[in-house]
Amino acid sequence: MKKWKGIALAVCLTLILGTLAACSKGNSSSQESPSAEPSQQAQQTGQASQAPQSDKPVKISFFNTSAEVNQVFEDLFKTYHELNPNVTIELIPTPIGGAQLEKFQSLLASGNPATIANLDAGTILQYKDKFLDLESDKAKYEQLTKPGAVDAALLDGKFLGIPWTAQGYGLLYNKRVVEEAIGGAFDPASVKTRDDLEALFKKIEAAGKAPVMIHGADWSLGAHYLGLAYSLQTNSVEENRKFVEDLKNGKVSLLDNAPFMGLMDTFDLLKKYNARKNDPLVADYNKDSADFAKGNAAFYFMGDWTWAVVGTLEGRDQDFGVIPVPISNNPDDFGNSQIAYSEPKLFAIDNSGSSPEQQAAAKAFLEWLVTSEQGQDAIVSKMGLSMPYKEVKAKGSNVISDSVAQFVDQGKSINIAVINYLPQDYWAKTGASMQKYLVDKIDRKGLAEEVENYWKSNAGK
Amino acid sequence: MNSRTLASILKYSFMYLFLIVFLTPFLLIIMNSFKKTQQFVDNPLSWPERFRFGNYADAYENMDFLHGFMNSLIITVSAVFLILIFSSMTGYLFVRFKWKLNAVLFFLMLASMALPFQVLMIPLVMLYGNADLLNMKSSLVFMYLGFGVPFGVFTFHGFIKGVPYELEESAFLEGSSRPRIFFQIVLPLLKPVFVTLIVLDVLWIWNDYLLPSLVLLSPDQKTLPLSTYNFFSSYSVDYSPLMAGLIMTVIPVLVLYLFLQKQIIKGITDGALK
Amino acid sequence: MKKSGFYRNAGTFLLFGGPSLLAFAAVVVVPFLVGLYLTFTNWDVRTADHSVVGFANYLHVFKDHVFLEQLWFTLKYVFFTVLIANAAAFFVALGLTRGGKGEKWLRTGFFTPNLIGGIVLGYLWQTLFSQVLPYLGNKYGWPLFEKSWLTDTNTAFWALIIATAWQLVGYLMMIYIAGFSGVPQDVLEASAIDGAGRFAVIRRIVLPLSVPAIVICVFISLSRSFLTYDINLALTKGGPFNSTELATYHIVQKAFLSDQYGIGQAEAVVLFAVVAIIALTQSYLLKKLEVES
Repeated sequence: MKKWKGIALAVCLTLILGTLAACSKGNSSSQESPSAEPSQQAQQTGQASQAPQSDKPVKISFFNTSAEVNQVFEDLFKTYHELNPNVTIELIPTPIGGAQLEKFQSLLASGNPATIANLDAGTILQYKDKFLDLESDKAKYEQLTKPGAVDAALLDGKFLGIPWTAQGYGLLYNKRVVEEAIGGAFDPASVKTRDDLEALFKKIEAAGKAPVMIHGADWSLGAHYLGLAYSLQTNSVEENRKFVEDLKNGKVSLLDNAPFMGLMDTFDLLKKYNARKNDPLVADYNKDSADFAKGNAAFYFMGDWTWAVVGTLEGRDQDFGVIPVPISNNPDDFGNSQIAYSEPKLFAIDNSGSSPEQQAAAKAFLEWLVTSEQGQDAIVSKMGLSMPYKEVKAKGSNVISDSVAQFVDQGKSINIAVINYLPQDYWAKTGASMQKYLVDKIDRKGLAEEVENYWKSNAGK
Repeated sequence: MNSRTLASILKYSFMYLFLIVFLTPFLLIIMNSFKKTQQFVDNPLSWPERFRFGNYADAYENMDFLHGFMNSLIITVSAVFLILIFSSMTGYLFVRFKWKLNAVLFFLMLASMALPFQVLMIPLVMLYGNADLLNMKSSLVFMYLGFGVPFGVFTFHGFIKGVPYELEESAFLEGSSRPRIFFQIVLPLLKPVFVTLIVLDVLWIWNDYLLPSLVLLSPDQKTLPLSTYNFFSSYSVDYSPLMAGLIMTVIPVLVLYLFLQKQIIKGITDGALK
Repeated sequence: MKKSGFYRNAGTFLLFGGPSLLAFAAVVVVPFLVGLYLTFTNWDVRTADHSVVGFANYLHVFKDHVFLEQLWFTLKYVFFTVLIANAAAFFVALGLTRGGKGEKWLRTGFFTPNLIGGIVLGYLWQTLFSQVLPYLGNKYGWPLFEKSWLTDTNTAFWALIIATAWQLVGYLMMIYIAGFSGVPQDVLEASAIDGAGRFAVIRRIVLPLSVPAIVICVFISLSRSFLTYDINLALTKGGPFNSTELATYHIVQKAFLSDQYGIGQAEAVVLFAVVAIIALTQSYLLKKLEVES
């Protein structure tokens, strides 16, 4: 008896010691690598950007959170490999939703980070120490992109991610349905206020069509709809960040905040005319997009990215556009004539475990991706996205992003970059509160309270 | 006798009826694997206008099916083989040698079955990643051995307990060694348990997504479930090729199950465990 | 003599237990201890640096009302899943013990759901609950299915149970069938067919003889349903409004989405303790039953 107890104790001790040893080893290696590399890398990248070596084979990996275009990226990697036989790019596809971050963190923790990561700007900011500062390439990209595109991609003033797509959202409309309802041509500029919108909804309803579709998913309600509340405070991202800080410190009462209240008044209107009124939270993205595109709803709160579903649909309508979400009855209020517009995903290059050769190859590939004919064609026509670059020859079929571009070209856009600085779970948590509000489980006061509480729980973070 | 036959017919008709209801979701997959995603979204219940085998071709190509199939096969076969051999031996050890240490270890294994994988996930990739052991099939097989052993030991333990010691005793007295007794006398008796565990472990490993996704990083190592994820996007799922891909993934294990089922029945009717 | 006995025993131990225990230790025990250590730190993958913070993370766990509520929600879910899945599996197995030709197909049929993995299965049921059933419900006016089951907390709860139990039934059925091999064939036939006295046969003979199988099945269904993650992710995504987050799902959200790895990990340890205590206690109690009967 005694003997076995002793042995059991010894085994346990060995295991614990082994653990501690493994653990401390793990720490030291992950701490060393970032500090050891930058000096070498600074020298090497300098050379690399001047003359990309073409002899030594390089293998880089690409972490993709835009899962719907995995295949397009894989084809691009093949094309690039044919042009540059020494560079092999491997796609790391991601599972759905929140599991993406799980995968990203496990790669980092294992010391096998992806060389390139296509991530939400906010995620890049969270992991800013892990990514390469692209300051040396900033001037080049400022030349290549449309004015303001690089500025909008800056995170805390640093250029960590290369912008490649710009997306806008608001109330999408199906032109045929709207025009049949009003019996004539539809001028999107005629909707300037909430009352204008309601009058239009009434006409559409009278014509026997569902006026608007709210997609009941937490990301749509939390990030895109309620997210507007933070961006509509002022025209300045800095000021809006301060607003969020005030929320965290409990200095703001949402019930007294005009943009929030206005936005939610409009939400009440959308709710009233919602095509999914019977069961608002079903939130089937394929079905909602298809129903809108086929004319079962005249308006749809969504963005131009939905073209990925709409574009390939059979038997859909042809003409679509976008109008802003009016938040008041004063046509001059900020937001009533502007479209929410952002660069949601950026390409960042790893600096925590990648070799200088890999980083140089990654830079060269990304530049090719956004400037070459093949790359632009893939992004614009195959992915159906718009690029914030000056010389884009490829022509896409995405009429919704064309409509967004008209607003942007006139300077009528809302810079929603404040969301890059929000915690990563804000859309899931506040989206849940919006869902409760959508099905009348809580009232306006309850919503304001839940949202305020969420922010207070993030104080100091 | 007559009422017996009637009762039997009634029983089976009821069972089949229940089975059909039970399998409706599965029948839907088969039916919809021949439709376009859009037709599926419009009405999942409609009969396919025409049978499109295009989804299967798409899935085959998109998933790089053959490659994934080979990877899955190598990993599953070697992992299941190792789990069965080693856990049956350990199960035997725990039943026949009632040492305190064995009891403690058995308890630890039991408890580990209640462990949420998420507790281990980050430490696991940290340890193996820093030791440069990721991205190898052999590491994955080793991990499956570690994760599969507790359930294997648990199951073998339960059944070996029911095997009378007398069978071994005479061999022991004749001077046979332990390993010999185990492999010649005990192992053949465990056949039904082996078959059961083969099926359960094959299914688990063949369909597992999370662990291979953490360990196998490069595309040429991909297993079939990893390839299936090509059809998932951030907001929605491309159902039709996914379903076709699923069916192609399922068929090998279905065949295995049908094949082994005979053995299970045989094992049971032989009364090896009575 | 005694010494050589020790060496021989050690040899047997290493031969029979060595390989599996090595793998078990290297894959489960050591990572678990590392994970346990991390719950006492403020480790964060972003900084890869950490310092020891004592029990701070555990204090957070017990102050996290959402987690405690979800733990309770999980307990309810587990209870019904285990009950339904085991009852169904037991009776299906009982009906399928003769091993005839027809039974082969029935067995295969009931086992089929296990051939697909959790996430895909969840998506399948998601489509069924949010599209197919409401479609039928609206067409034929069945009030029960007019709305999606996934948009209401109560019905989503049952949807989760149904989807999990659906998959578990075939799995458990196999173990019950294997377990019934200890029960004489004529008894089984009597219990499966005879009308009168049928339940008496089941209760007095079949049930006691299949206690080992029941122990295994309850244990497996308990631990599997406690650790449900895939189906939760694909079927309800924790919705509507995060009201159907099972414990594991909550933990993943906390650790990876909310960037509170230490707290998430601590919650996972608490969950582990709860599951282990429940699962082992029930095994112990059922085993005692076995000995007594």
